[in-house]
Amino acid sequence: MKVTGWVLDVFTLEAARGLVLWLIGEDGKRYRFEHCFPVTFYAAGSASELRTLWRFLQSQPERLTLSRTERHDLFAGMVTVLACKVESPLELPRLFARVASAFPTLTYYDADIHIALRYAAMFGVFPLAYCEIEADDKNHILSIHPLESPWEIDPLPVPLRILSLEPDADPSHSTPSHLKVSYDRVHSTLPLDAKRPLLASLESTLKTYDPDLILTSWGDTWLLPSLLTDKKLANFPLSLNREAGQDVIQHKERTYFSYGQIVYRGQQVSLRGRLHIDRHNAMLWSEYELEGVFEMARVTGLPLQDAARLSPGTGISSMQFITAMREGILVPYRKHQAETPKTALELIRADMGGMVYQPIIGLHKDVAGIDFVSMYPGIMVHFNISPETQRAKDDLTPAAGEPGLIPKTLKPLLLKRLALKSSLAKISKYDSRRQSYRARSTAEKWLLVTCFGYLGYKNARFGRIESHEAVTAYGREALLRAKEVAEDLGFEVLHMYVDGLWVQKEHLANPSDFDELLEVIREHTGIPIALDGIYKWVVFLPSKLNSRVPVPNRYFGVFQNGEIKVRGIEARRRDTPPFIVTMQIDMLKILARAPSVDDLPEYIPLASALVEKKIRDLREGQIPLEDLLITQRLSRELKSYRSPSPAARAVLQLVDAGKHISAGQSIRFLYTRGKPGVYAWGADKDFDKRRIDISGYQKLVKRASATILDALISQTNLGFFKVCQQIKPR
Amino acid sequence: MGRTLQTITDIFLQEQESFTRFRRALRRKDQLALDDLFISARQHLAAAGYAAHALPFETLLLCMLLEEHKEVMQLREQVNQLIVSRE
Amino acid sequence: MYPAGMNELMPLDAGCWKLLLAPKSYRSQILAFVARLAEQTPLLVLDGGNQFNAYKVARAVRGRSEILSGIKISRAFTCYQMLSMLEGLNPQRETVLLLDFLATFFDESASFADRSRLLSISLEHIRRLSLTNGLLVTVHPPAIVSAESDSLIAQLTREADGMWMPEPSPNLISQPALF
Repeated sequence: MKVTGWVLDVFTLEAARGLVLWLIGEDGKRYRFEHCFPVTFYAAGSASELRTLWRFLQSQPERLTLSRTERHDLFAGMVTVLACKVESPLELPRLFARVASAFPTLTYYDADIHIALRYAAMFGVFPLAYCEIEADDKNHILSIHPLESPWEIDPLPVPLRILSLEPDADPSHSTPSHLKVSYDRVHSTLPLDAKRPLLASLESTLKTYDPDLILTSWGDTWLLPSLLTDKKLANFPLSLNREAGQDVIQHKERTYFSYGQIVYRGQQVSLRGRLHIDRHNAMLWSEYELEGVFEMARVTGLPLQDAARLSPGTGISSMQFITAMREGILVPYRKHQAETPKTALELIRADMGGMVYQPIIGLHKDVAGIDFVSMYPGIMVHFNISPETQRAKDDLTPAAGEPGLIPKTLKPLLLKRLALKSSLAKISKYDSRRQSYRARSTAEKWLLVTCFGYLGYKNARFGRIESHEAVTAYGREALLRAKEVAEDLGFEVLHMYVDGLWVQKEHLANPSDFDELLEVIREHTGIPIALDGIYKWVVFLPSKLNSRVPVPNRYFGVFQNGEIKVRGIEARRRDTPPFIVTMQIDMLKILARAPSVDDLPEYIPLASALVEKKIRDLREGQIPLEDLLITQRLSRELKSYRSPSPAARAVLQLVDAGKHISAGQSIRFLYTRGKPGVYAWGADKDFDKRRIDISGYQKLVKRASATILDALISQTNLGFFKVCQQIKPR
Repeated sequence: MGRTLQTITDIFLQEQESFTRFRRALRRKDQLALDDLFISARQHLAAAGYAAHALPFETLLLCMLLEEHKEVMQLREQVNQLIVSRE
Repeated sequence: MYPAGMNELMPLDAGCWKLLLAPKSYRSQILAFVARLAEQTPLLVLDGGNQFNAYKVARAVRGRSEILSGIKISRAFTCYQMLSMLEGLNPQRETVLLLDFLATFFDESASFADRSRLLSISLEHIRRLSLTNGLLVTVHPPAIVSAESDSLIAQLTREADGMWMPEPSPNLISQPALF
């Protein structure tokens, strides 16, 4: 039979001989196929070691095919390897564990790659890919062809059936009482305490609606484990999986250290034959939601349930693995590539990040923000920076030779993102595709942003610190050249930050006025640069500790189209209470109404009045408690605090109330009067509003309003237009 | 694991701190002038970082001197204008 | 000449290798020692714990570029990288310095069995290198001490030809403060 449709998921199973593939048929039916899919790992070592390994493998129970061959190691060149092809992909991890334990000194390749990535490398079939399958009458795949690539701008929409399950409260703070269930146009609310009716209703929905994706809130950490316990106790069926006779997979929670921070991953519940995504346990959910998760899965090749939960670093790594396998490059099991020695002088020169400039403090008008588009990935692609390519010199010339692994991996992603951004700029504000384009473009942005850091990551299989340093060196060179071009053309450079510049020239305020500048910069650097916008006015802020010390990347301004841009101030900080974020943005909205910079003085009192009102609302208890919440992460394990931070004190309250919070998790709390000074949200059903630390919150309000108003008021006293020969204020 | 060395800002703050004893023994008026001198160096940290000299303090001294000289040039200009306007 | 009594470590000649075991608080003295060494002989430094502060060393040698060019550094962030670096090391006249050598071995993302095995192989390389070049290994105890970390340190101390540890500071009678 021949079927066309969209791949939902790919996985291995004890019961199946090969791989299991679930497909959403174009005909509306759901299909389950099996595909014979042997997988290979490789070992390198001395001839005698490999002979011993050969004999060992021959004695193993698994069905294997052994051979001796030559393959390409990215760093070492061609190597002679023993290839071990395992008939059943499910058996590879266990076999490999035995081999690695018995022969720890050998070098291994392609040993621990996710099955979905291998499948994608072999057949070009990725999650949600539209493809055509030819299968026999036992549903064994005879052939499979993708009918699209992951780089489609407008792929056919996938007719996913989504069931949403949402408890009415955050279980880590208080106990939910009801479950909101939605699918299609059905919305219902079920009480959580009546177990049997709840299970019966859910089972009926699962059987009749037969969702492809179950989208939950707290499904990983609370809802699904709780339902699974209930079903066991009540001895009631709950067909979360479509795969009959398979247990739902539960991964334990874990806390790990990454880039100097503690990261918390809640426990996970994965389904088979269906997908489960937990909004609150999905990486970067708030950034790009479901559409973005779909995009992540499509471009990285990772199955949806993994793509939702894993970091963009794993995403980039997966993309690199697929490219490597397609190109016949071995994927090392362990990264051991070490740094080539540098002299102390070379180290000082090379170990730098992006150029971060000190801005010219104050209010400026008619300022153009120009940015290199996806600078670091663009540099990697354009200048062919990859662990195996040789870098010529410090000037901006591409490394000679064939495109390396990293540029090959990134190029299609970069081009797709640029195409989506360009489409977004062109289509109307009301086009229904906007949401989707934006979500997908954001997901890609995160992958691109990560790939640079990943290049320097100690565990990245294809990482290399020299390449990482080359990228920043090119970045600094490009920014400096842009500055030189701008200055040669008579612009003043007010601020620079890694991949962007703020420039100003008297009498220039139209986008077309800056075309020549952009063109010349492009010529001199080889990297695309674009106008972010022209600010009617922008304020570069000084340090709170000393108003004469400039601070990079801290500013607020209004574009000509009325849009506000803000960096580094309270409204951008995650731990600022929502009512203060709203207040700062509202203040800026008021100021944005000023037709021109000269009119600003009239609007400052209006913004001030808003602050006064907020303080009155605060004093009169008019601000909803939710808007006063501080959200912070617990940065260390509780016991390691000598004097507990406010977040730690809040966690202690939840712990006393019987809840469990790990390091790396975020906690919400209010500031209260007296000891302990905080109230953990949800710790206690009855919270007396009068305990709120009004004067503490008032201080926060004043500080946030000062950030905006102080700079403007002082500037309006001295005069708006920054005169080059201005005397330094004492 | 990209960078391992300190940032120029960290180095600047360490250099400033290494003069704490010197500062303490100055008169209050002179302390303020010294603080001002360090602040003026902060205007050019990016360039100091990029310069990547083995002895960053030398570069920071140059930053301070740069700001002083800018002020001298400005004052010179203003004095000249005053003289011209008097004539 | 050498800080904190470290002159006991000298000379660092070929034929044997020495171990310096001290808390991380000795970082400045160790870097000063490295600077003094650099003035005498070219150095090859493998840094396992991000201990090599190039600026501090540059200050100590007054920025002299001939000396700074004579110091070569490689940084390792995993024990696999550290071993790989040792395997590839081919010093000419340089004295070899392994700074905070065990830091990557204390990282628990690899199994203890693996780390211990890699350490044994590393020690063979250290022995090989010490036959032709002077070699010094510095080790700082980990933030959280465990039986495993003690065992790794012991693996090292057993093989070293000479060891230096700072003097424990005697309990001084505290003089009452004058101000």
